[in-house]
Amino acid sequence: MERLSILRTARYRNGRFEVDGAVRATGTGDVDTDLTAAWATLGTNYDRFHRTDRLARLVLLCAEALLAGLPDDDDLHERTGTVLTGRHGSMDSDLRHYEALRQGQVSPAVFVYTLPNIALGELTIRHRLFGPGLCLLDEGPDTGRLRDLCAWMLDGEGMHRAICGRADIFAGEVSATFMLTGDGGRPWNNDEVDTLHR
Amino acid sequence: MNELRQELKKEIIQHLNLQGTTPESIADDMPLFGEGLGLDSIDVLELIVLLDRKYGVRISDPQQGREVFRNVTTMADFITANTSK
Amino acid sequence: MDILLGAAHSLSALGEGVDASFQRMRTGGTAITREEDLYGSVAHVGLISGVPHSEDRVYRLLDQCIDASLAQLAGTPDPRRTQWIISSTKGDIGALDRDRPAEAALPMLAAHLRRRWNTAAEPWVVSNACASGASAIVLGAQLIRSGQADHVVIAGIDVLSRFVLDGFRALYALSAGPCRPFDTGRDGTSLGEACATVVLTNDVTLLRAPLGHLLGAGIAHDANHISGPSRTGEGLLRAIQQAVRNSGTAITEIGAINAHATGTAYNDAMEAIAFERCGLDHVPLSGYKGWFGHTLGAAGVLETAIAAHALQQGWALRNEGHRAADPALQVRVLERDTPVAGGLLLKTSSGFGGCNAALLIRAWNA
Repeated sequence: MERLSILRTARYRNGRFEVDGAVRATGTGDVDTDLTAAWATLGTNYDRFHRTDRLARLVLLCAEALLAGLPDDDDLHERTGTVLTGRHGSMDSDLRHYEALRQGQVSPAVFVYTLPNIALGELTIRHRLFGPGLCLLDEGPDTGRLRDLCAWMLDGEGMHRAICGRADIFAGEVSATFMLTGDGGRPWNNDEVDTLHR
Repeated sequence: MNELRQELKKEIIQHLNLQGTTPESIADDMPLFGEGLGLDSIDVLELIVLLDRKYGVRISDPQQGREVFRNVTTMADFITANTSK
Repeated sequence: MDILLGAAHSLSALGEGVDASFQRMRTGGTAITREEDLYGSVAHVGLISGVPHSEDRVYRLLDQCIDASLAQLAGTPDPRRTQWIISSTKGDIGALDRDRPAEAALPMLAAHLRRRWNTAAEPWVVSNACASGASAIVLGAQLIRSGQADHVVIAGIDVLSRFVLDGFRALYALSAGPCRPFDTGRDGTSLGEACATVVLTNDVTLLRAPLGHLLGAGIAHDANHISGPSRTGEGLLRAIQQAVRNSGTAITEIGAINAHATGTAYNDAMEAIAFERCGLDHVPLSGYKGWFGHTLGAAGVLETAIAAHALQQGWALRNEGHRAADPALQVRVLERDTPVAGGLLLKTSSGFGGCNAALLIRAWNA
């Protein structure tokens, strides 16, 4: 399991956006404004960001930070695995769709986001990642399981990198914790991962 | 007719949440899909919804939608042709 | 390591039980019905009958199916060596109608399983859109291969809801009649509801009647569009190649394919392209959604169980709903049930978000 080391981290807590521990943005309290402001700190040109739902924006934001500067090559496209976990999944869009349903105004663009793995799909589209990916729902971050999933991607599936992200939007709380794992970083440390996810 | 086209541009921007796009940047005959504005298959469906809800014009087949939504002019023409005065 | 599948059970429009479903498919046509007033409109859907509607219907279906699967085992698997996986797209979405959004969260299903069967570990919940079921089987195999478990109980579930039906309608993704996978006139999918369960194990003595050996598995993404598959089948191609690579078999040994086959123009075309690119264009191919509809989170488990059982009985079942071949698709769609020897099945699943999963199963005693 020598390849399981942590290369980069990104963390978002209600507007406060940190990359490898350095604060890039702080929150104002408005979810959409904060996501847009955090995204702007990355200086990326990907207009689609603004047209996705909140969960996807959160995931795209963190993944963009993790992959910034990496060569856009076959190694990235073919050898990156992805794991997305969360507790409430697509509930933010689910509630929007549900409300639209009640008003007889269903929006196709809202409905397509009512699956927890669509945000993961957006990530793979943005960075052209063809590798394996899994979307899992659970009550709380399970460091042991995250470790096993990354190890599976890197050893079992032959990936060179694995993005391990947890993202959740529910009842006003917007949070995400993302790690880029692979070769050449600092060895996986359960305490560090626990702390990162708090 | 020009009014309708201008209105449509604003509606498209608002309905599809095209932040950073201004009505002025959408030429009447600019392709909405592919190279021009870069809209996709879900956007076709949303525009069908827009036409129905705002203009009372129904398109039942998304394939037909592709033709209608080629550009703002074709959209406006379609609305005009299908709206009784 | 030999990973076996068995002790499968199902509840769908075909009725209850995997063999019963298989017999029903051998002797009759589609179980998709035209409902005149489903949430206020006409719909062609695959409904589970015999399980009354109730607030806890999702849980009752899970309980009934899992109980029946466990009852098929030749003993009680050691709880400390048993993992559980649920695959579902929307879980108990009815909780939104009850104004309890927190109860609609998918981990609630895991909590239910944990309590009812006193599981040693928290059940996993996989939600990879329509590829959830197959993805759950991929994860289950990994848990056994890595030594974290000897047995994995997998349950796929999704029930019909206005939430999903109206959503699919807004995407113009529903067919005008029962869906017609790979057909030249296919015009969309039919939704269905189902619960299906299967047990994976490395202990042959636990299974009275194994379905088969899970030889290989793969997951990969299209990276194309969130609701439109890759026109060149990039993700499915890679998933199939990965499954073959880690199965120890050659792609030429595949004797039958059970595809995702939703009946939409783009999905079926994508799959046909992927199969052709893999050199599988002459392999007997069918999909099952014409029988019971697209059962979303349950689909991968339900279809794998029935297809493996069918193959074990020596059959590749026809692609129900198919009337006329699409000349653009270079694949061999089965219009009649076909005897198959050799016993190596490729099962594929694809879903929104661009996720694709592939499983290679050698029928028991093949």
